[in-house]
Amino acid sequence: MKKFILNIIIFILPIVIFAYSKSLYLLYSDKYKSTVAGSEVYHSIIKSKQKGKAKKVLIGDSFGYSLFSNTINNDTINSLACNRAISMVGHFILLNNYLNAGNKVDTVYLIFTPFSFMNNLDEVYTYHYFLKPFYIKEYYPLFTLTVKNQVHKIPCYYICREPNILTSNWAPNFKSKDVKDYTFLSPVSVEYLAKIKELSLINKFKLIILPTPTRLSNKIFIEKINRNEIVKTGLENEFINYLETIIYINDTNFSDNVHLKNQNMYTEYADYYMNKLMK
Amino acid sequence: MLFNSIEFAIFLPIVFLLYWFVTNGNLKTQNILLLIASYFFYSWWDWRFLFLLVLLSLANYFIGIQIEKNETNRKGRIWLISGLVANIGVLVVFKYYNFFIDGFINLVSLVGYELPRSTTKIILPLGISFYVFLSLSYIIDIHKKNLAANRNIIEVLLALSFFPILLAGPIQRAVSLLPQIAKRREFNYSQAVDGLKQILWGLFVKVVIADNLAAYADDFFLNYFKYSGSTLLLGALFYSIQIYADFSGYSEMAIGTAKLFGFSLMRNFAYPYFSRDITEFWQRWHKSLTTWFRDYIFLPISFNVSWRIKGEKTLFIKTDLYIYIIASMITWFLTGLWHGANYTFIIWGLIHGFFLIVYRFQKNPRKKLFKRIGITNNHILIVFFETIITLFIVMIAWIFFRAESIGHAINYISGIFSKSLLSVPDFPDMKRAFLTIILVIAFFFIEWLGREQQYAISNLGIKWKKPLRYAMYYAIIIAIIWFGGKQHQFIYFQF
Repeated sequence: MKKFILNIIIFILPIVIFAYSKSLYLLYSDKYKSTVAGSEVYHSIIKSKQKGKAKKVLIGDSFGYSLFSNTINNDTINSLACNRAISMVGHFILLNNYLNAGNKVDTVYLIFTPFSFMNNLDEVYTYHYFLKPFYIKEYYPLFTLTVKNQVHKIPCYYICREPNILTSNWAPNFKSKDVKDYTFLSPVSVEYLAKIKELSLINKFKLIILPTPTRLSNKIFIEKINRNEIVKTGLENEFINYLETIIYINDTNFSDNVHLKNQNMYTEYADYYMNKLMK
Repeated sequence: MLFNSIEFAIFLPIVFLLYWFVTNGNLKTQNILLLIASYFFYSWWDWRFLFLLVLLSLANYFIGIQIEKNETNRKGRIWLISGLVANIGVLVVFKYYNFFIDGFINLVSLVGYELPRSTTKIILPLGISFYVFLSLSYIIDIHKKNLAANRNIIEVLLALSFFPILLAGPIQRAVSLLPQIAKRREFNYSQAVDGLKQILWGLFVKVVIADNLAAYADDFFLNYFKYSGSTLLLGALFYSIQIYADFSGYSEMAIGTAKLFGFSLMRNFAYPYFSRDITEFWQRWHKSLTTWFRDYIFLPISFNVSWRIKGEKTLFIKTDLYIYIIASMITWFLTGLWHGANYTFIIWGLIHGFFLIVYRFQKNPRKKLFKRIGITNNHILIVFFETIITLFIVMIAWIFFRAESIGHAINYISGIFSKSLLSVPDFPDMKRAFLTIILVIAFFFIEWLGREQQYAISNLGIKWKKPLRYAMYYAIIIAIIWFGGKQHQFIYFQF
C-alpha cells in the first residue's frame, strides 16, 4: 500500500509540474483568453481599450452578441456585447474603458434580454465570467460595496486569479442563498445602470436600451414586473420604451430560455436592429 | 460531481486513503465509509434528492425481506408487485410526468379541447434510471431466488448507491455486487494500478475525444440547415464517436474507480464500432443495460408469448420468429423510452429493434447465398463491408437520438442526402477539426490494438521496457492536459 502511494506521488510529480507550466505558458502568452470558455468576454475587454472610429457603441448579453458579434469591426457601430454573466458591472467597465481610451461616443445601445437585468453577481457563471476577467486591481475602484459583498459570498473568490484556475474553465459549484426580492432589476443592476446614466451625462451620449425577442410564455412574468424598481435607476423613460417594445415570439423558436434555435433568425433580427440603430 | 472535475480529483484520493488506512481492513467500517462517501458524492449535485435515493433504498431493503419471507404464499407476489410499482412509479413521476402530461394535452387538443399547460417542470434526479434499475434487479432476483434478501441494511444501502456506478452505471446486478460488498476487501497492488490505468484511459477518451467532437457535433445539429450533406454526414459520424467516447470513457472511469476499492464491476463496452452486425453491436454496446433488458424484459416476454402460441407457424411466419418480433419490438420500445421522455428515443429504439429483426431474417438466406457463390463468411471484404453497413445503420439511428424532435432528425437526414453529399465538407475551425480527426484515428488505432482486452490500454506496452511504458502513460496525460476539449457533462447523466 505504501509502495503504491509512493509510486503514485513520484508518477504524479512531473504531471503537476507540466500542468502548472502549461498554465503559466497560457497566462504569460495571453493565450488563455482565447482558449477558455467565454473568450468573447476577453475579446470585449481588449476591444474596449482600443481606439475606434465608431461613435455608436453597443453593449449587451449573449443575444446581443449573437446579433452583433464583437469580432466584427465596424466603423459605424462598435460592438462590445458578450454575455449576461459579466453582469451590469462588467458592461459598465467595458463602457468606461472605451471612454477612457479617448473614444468619442454619441449613442450607447444596451441590448438586453429582460431577465439579464436580474443578474446580481450570484449566478453559477459569475466566477468564471466575471471574477476571472474583471475582479482585478485595475477595476477595484469601480466596485461598490454591494459588488464586494456579493463577490465575498462566492467560494474561492480569492484564488480566481491563480494561474491554474484563471487559465482553465474551473469554477466552484456555487448556488446563491440570497432571497430575491426584486422582479426585474437586481441591486447590482440598479447601481450600475445609474453609473452608466452618470457616464452618459458626463460624456454627453444618448443611452438607448433595446429589448431582445422573448419567449411568449415569459410575457406573464414581464407583465408582473414591479416598475418601482426602474425609478431607482433614473432611467424611467428608457425603460418604459424598453418594456413596451418587447417582441414576443413562440417558445418553439428558442433553444433555451433566451437563445434562438435557428441562426437564420438572428440574421433577420440583426437587420431589424440595424435599422433601429441607424435611425 | 463529475469524474473529470477538480472536485472529484480531491474527493477520490481522500476517500481512497481513508478507506485503506483508517478502516484497518474492517469490513463494516469500509462499507460505512463507502456509503457516506457515496451519499456525499450524490448530494454534491443536489442534496434534496438524496432523500429520494435513501427512501427508495430503504423501501427495497424492506420489500426484499418481505418477498423472501413470503416466498411460498401470495403475499410474496404482492410484495414484489409493490416493489415494482414503487420503483417504476418513482421513475415515471420524475422522468416521464411532463412527457405523459404534454402527450395527453396534445391528444385532447386533437378533438378540440384545449387544456391549460402546466408550467411546473419536475427536475430529473441525476442517475435515477440507473439506481432504479439496480433496485429492480435486487427485488426481482430475490423473487426468482437467484439472491437471498440481505438483512444487513448498510450493505443493501451501499449496493444501491455505490458512488462509482451511481450516476450512469454500469448497471450492476445485486447478485454480483452484494457478495463483493459482504466480503472483506484487502488492498491489491496490481488491481489498484489496473484501476488507475483504466481511469486514465477513460479520462482521455472523454476529455480528448468526446469533448473535442462535442463542439462540432453540437454546431452541426443546431445549424444543420447551414451545412452541406457531406458536412452533416461528418457531423453524424462525429456524434456517433462522441457518444461512444463519452459513455465508454465514463464507464471505464467508473470501473477503474471501483477497482481502487477492491471491486470488480461488469464491463459495459467492448469496442462496439468494430461490430459486423447489429446483434454483435448490442453485445458490445452498453452491455449492462442490454443484458438487463434481455433478462428482465425480453426473455420473460418471449416465454410468456411462447406459452400462449401453439403450432409451428403463425400468420405464415415461423412461431419462434414471431415471438422474437413481438419480444424485440416491446423490448426496444422500452429501451428507447428508458433513455428519455421523448419520441426521438422511442424511434431510435424501434430502429434498432427493426434492424435486429431484419438481421435475424437474413441470417440463414445469407449463409446459403455465400455458400452458393463460394465466399467464406470471414472474407476480409465481407467483414469490412458488414462493419461499414452496421456503422451506417447505427449512425443514422444516432441522429434520432441526438435530435430535439423527429422533425429535426428528418430534416437532418434529408440534409445529408441532398445534392451536396458529394461535396467537400466545409465548416468553421477546420484546422482544429483536422487535429481532432487525427486524435480520433489514434484513438481507434489503440482500440484496435487492444480489442481483445477489457479496455484498450489494459495490456498495451506490458512487455515494453519500463521507461517506454511510462512514456506512453505520460503521453496520454499530456494529451489530456493539452488537447482536452471544453468540459461537457456526460451525455448519459440526463438519463
